[in-house]
Amino acid sequence: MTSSRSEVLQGTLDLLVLKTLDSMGPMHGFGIALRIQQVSEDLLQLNQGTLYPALLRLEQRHWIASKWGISENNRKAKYYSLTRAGRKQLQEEAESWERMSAMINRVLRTT
Amino acid sequence: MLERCRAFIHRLAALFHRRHLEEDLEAELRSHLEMDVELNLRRGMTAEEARREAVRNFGGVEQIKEIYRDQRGLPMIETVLEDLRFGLRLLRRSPGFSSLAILCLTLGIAANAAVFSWIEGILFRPYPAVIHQEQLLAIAGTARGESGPTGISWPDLIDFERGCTLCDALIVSKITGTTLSVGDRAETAVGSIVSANYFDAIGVRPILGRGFEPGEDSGRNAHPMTVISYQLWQGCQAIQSLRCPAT
Repeated sequence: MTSSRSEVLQGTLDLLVLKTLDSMGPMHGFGIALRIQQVSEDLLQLNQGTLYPALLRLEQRHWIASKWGISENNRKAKYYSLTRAGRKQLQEEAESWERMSAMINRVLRTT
Repeated sequence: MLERCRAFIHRLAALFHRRHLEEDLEAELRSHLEMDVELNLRRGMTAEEARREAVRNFGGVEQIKEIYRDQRGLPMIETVLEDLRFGLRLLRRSPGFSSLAILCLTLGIAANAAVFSWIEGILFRPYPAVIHQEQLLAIAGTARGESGPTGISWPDLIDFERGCTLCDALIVSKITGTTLSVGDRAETAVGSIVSANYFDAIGVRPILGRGFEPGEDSGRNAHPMTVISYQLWQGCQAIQSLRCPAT
């Protein structure tokens, strides 16, 4: 565990999941976990298990929907997909993230 | 707000098919771990290593399940239900002890309730029919050298009434016993000799007939008059005396 790997900020996991489902289409939990790790080039230190409470939270808010299906290697798996409300939420959260990070960057650059 | 509502409904619904959801969670997590194991095997790990790596990647399985369950239902309600169920199971396990405990509690609560209602009746609200009990004040005469209250004469009372600016009304009441003959039967009855303003002052109106009118107690218009209680009236009717007075 090196210091260049960072823990997932509270709340950002939701955004990452929504974005992943938006760009990849319906996926199972393991797929989402792999994808997030790949895209972040393993810089993100994610206990894959923490994904599941997050998925449930998103489902409770009707931002994603779940359905049992068969995986690419013939295994039963629960597939998650983005709902219309989820897409809207993703847009809002992405925008607010941009605003926030831009602001923090500005603050960091001023000396 | 809408999302909160939805989430709450979702959680509430989860309370009712917990077993099904638990199986669902179990299956989902198992499938996750198996997929990871498979991937690790393909990367060339031994079966043992592959499993260990998958579990490590996942993080504590039981811990995650616990967090998941808290997120899924309404933990507070679930805990209360759990506790209730546990309590009932304990009670059923030792019926003798349970019934003894319940009996003790019942008696304790009953005794408490009795004492408290008694205290309320005697100390806090002794005259439930009187509208402004808290304004009721008892005055009694005393005499030097004598213990306990003594009587007050009628002229004294008139003087008090005239001189008392603190009270709305001054009533007089003396508890007394009397004999009541109804038909061919005689009974003792408890009553009070009171002044004519008695019912007006305490705010009690008779259900039937009338109370006393001003000036009926002294002076030229004075004459003996009785107001009887509802119970006595009912009793009279039960005896079926035709001469039973209505007021």
